[in-house]
Amino acid sequence: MAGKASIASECVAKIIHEVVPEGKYQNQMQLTAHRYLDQSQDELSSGFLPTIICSAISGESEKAIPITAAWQLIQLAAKLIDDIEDGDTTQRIADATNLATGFLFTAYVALDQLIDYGVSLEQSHRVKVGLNQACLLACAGQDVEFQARYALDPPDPDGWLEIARWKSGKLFAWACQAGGIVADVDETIQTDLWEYGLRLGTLVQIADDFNGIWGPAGEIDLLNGQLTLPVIYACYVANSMEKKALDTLIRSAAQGNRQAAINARQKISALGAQKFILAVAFTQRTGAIEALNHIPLSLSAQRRLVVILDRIFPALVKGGTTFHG
Amino acid sequence: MNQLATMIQKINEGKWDLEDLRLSTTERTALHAIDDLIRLSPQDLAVILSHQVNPSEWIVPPVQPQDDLQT
Repeated sequence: MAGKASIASECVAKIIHEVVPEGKYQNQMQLTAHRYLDQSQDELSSGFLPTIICSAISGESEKAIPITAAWQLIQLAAKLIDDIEDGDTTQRIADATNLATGFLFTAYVALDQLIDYGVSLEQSHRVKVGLNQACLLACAGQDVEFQARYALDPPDPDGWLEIARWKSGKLFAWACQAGGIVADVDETIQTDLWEYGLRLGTLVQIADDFNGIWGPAGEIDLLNGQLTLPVIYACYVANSMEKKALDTLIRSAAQGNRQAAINARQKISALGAQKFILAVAFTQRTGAIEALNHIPLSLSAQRRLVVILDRIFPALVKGGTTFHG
Repeated sequence: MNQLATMIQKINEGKWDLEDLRLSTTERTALHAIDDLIRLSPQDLAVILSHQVNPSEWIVPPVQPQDDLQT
């Protein structure tokens, strides 16, 4: 699979070389993509979902290479855009925006190559339509989150789940389903692949939200005024006095008050937010494994897809779950 | 998820009998499976989870104008 990973990276480099005019911009795109994709050469990285899925089902992954290239370019563009939106970019905003836009368009060029890899026109069309829909949902989900953030008015946990599915889940769902489409599986299996990806992408969002408060970088999401799952849970279950105190801390943290962020994190922890995150993550993992159990895969292929899940939340594996291969 | 949040709140307040809680099968299974973790104090749980949740995002290294693919 490492060879296939390298082929996807080469596909990205080739497309950028062929379609982006030579010069500084092309060089910036090549260098950014090269450095970004270099971090994901691991054969079980979620960056290779389309080829992993296609290979798991059909035993060969070549047809999914353009999809994997597109998927990696979309992830790279999304990461750049996220950094801009969160004020985390280390580049000039205009440069980062222009780079992200270039990667988005390059992703679509990558999908134009599906025909050259032996994919039918109908399948190619379905893959492209799916990506359009997933990207538009991600934008819509991001907008819902922005409006809540601007108003400092958190949605309830069900509302968070809907946003997470739009922002992240459906892109992962597309990556998995597209791998199945080019592997020529029937509609039922495509639906199961979609469900696996949806749960995987939601799990990724849960992990991001966890790390934004308890991760190595500290309470970064509180300082950025982001209304992530721990905050949403705490606001939902807190009584009126607790909620008032928490609200004050969250507003102060969002203005850069580090001590307020630390105090808010303590309150959120005391209300049981980590336990909630674990429970929610577990239900997503369980749903993903149930979907996998419907797909006719070899045991080793199924295990690979479970490992991808479990790398996100290793704590859940210690929870004693098993999957039925 | 709203109902699960309410149930976790009750558990966090020391109501441990999961059988009494109105949960879906999936939620009940989840809580049983991670029962040992959710019984921990927030401090102990934080220590354990600090090494058990992996960031999903790769870092995008900044590209400076003077950078070149050959360097």
